[in-house]
Amino acid sequence: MLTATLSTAFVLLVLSFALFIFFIYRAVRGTVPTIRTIPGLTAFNEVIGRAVETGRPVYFSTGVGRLTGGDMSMTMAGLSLLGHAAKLSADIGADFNYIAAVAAEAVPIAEDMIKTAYREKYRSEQVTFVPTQPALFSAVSGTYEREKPAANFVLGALYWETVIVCEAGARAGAMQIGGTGRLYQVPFIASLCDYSLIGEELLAAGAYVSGERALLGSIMASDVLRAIIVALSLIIMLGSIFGQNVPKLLGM
Amino acid sequence: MSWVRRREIPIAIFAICFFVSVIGYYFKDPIAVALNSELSGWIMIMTNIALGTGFIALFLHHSKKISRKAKGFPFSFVIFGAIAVMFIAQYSGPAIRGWLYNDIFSNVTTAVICFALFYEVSGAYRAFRIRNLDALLLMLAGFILILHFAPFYESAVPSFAVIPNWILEVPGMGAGRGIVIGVAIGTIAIAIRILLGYEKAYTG
Repeated sequence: MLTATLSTAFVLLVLSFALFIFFIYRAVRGTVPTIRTIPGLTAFNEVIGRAVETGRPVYFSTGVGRLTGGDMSMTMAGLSLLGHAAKLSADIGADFNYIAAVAAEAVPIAEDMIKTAYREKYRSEQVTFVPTQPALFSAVSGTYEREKPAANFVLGALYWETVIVCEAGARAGAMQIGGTGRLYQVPFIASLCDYSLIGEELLAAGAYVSGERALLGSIMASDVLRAIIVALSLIIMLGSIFGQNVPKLLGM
Repeated sequence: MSWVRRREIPIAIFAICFFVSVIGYYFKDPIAVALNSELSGWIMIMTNIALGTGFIALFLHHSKKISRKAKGFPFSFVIFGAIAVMFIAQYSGPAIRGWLYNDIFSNVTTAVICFALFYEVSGAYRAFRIRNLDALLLMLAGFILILHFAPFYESAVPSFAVIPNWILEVPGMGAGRGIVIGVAIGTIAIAIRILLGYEKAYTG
């Protein structure tokens, strides 16, 4: 039996599933939506190209977010972009490195992606794992000071290590692309990185760079769902102005 | 393709876990709730198995590094030494274990974290340079909030407290909720893409 207080949430979840499935299949059949240009994603080529020109390495971090709970989607989006950045780096011969922190489960996934991109040129030193946030702090500040990376990607579920990784990158003179959906880290990303992906931009990025029809369709569905939520918020606001408790009427 | 490398298997595992969790949460069905609890137990078991395989992988990786005299190989001895010391301390009683963990490891960690302050200050300097209108707004908002959180400001000019409170509760809260809603929608999108087999990042 459906829990009474969760009935509206369940209806919204089912509605969102239906929307996503509809727009994904619509895109697969040929109606592909046009996605606006996201500067942070189009800059990948520029940033990695600069690393090759200067002969300095590229560093990528997905933060300390794990592949479970609320961090899952952001870490997965970070890993999608890691695959994209590794492929671009391998294509033009950049020295690509990944620093994994805390989330050990991300290491084999990242290794597989980098191996796929670099094939026989893959070196095990391209992936570094550090087990804790303070260890990440030490590793990043020391490595960036010595290696002077030309490009620094910080994309995923970021915690307080954001300011350390981004500031170490800025001190080393790296061009930086940062992105997270974690609210309290957004100001650090926006102020310290050259390009930023905020909130859903990060989650849509994997779909955007892949160019796959189905994934682009899911971005369209996200926009429609957002419009429904905005409309619902406006109805609740108007209801409260006219003395109606709309959430209670909807069983929320 | 070997059956263990087939993409359908991780998708099927994800789908089963997803539907068990959703039914358990929304319907409070006793069977689904029990299955959900069982799945949580499996997570613990798999985490511990992964810990064991992780130790073997770590041992092999550093053994190879030492045998090949790869770059930074002396640090591999440090890792083996640290593992041996903590292993012996674990079975030597709580005093030695507590001394190693609470009196050495925690203090070293805290000392490292303290350096973050210097990064935050230089980061703030970098953020507050006025290069365009956005940076000016950021600087003004940051300056007002720094004054708000300094004890002197509130006591000297109490009436100005309304400005930082407004920044936090109106534009700050609104923008924050926008980001949170966007992330929630993006999370649903990723879950559906995994269920339909279009999201491949988690399989490498």
